[in-house]
Amino acid sequence: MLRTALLILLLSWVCSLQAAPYAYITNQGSDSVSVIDTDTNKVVATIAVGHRPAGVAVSNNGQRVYISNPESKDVSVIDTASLSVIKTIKVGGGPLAIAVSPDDKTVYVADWYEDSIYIIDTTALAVDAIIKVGRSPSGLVVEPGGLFLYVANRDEDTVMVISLGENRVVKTIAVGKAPFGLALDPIKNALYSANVQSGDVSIVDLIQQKAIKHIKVGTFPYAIAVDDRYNRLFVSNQRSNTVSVISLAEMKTIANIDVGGYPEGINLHPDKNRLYVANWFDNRVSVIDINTLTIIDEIETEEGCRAYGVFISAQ
Amino acid sequence: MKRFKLLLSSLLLIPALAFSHGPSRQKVVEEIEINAAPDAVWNIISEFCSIADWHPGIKHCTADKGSEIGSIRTIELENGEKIKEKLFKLEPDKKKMLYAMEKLAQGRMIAGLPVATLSSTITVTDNGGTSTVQFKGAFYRSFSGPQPPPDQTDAACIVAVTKLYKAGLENIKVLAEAK
Repeated sequence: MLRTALLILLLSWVCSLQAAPYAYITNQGSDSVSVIDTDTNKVVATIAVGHRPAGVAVSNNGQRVYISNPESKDVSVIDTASLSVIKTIKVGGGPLAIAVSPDDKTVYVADWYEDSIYIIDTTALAVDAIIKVGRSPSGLVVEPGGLFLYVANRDEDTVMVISLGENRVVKTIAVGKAPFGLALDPIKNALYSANVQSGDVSIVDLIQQKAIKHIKVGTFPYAIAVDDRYNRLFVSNQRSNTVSVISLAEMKTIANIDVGGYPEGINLHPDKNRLYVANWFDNRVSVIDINTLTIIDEIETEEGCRAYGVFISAQ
Repeated sequence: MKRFKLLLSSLLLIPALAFSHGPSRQKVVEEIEINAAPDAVWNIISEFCSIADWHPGIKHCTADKGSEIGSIRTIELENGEKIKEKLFKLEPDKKKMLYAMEKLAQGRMIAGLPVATLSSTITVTDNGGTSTVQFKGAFYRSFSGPQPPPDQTDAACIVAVTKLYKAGLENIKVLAEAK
């Protein structure tokens, strides 16, 4: 009895040492990032960044957050210990999608005016290289081994595979119409693209390197979160104001959850029980319990929250 | 003439921009209180093409599939500009309709409404016998470069969409309250 009590005490002490993950929400209309403590679901800080921030990428070690600002044409680098911008890096003509390499040494930024990927060295915090891709690159994801980068080319209906060892495109794969958000499922060797114009999600088999299935979702699907525990996908649909739930076992949409206006960025919490969705029109983030598929909380942000990318820190 | 030629040649040098609209989506919300029952107000606007009857800025409307989901209507503005819009949601129980502009041809600029991808949601809510009608719009400016002319900026688009919605809402009020 005493041992159990001591164990509980010890466990709660260990847990309290680990800060709850923060969610970093870009607010495009107010040039800021709202920082949400996901333990309390309260905004704990608001950080001023560049003009019209849209994309976000939290580093794997949780120490930095990279924000793309399409209208000031730069990337804001946030230090998560001080919750302040430590550097602003100029990139291209319209930076939007942004992703961090698994080792946190590199940041990739898709520039949809220049049809290229800017590669930033996170030690020097400077642009290291530029790779030409297809028209309007809009989605980015790096595979966990750090060998390949996948890029969705919105105006070419393709996904490109970039070899990061050589910094060149090694394969172009046809998907649905106007692919935007991408998500990777390393266990299944699958890549998913949310196709805005065709209103579906393409499932790309990365071994065969081709799309093997297209699953209908809502109108203007934008971004995807993978739920490997229940073998499902969650897809934000901008014009339906819903999140579609896809069963990968049944290969079809099995539910639609009503959220706010223009849902965009969507992330599964590291606890794998909660889903966070930024509703651009309504300036709030919906929190969904993925076991019951119901909204359990709503958090006010600033104007025009988007949170496009990985916005919740894993630690 | 020389200046015109210069302009033309410099235009040819600009590479085709990837996106056919501005960089950041904008929004507008407009509301009006109407002293009439929600059902009566909804009856005025519930048909997809009834907009030609209740919106003073729209002369004419035809829809290829009436008020079915997916129907595409062509509306004609007072200045003769024609716009195609598709019906995405029609929910009579919620008194809500959502439609959006079809993709514009590359480089097209609608006179007086310099927007692209405008999606509009109109909703009637019950205030205990009277009604609130709300228009919500999300859109990009049509001009895709970084330096739009003063009449094609994000701010100019917000003014144009606000004006469009206000004119419609004010006339719905007139029509509903006259009954």
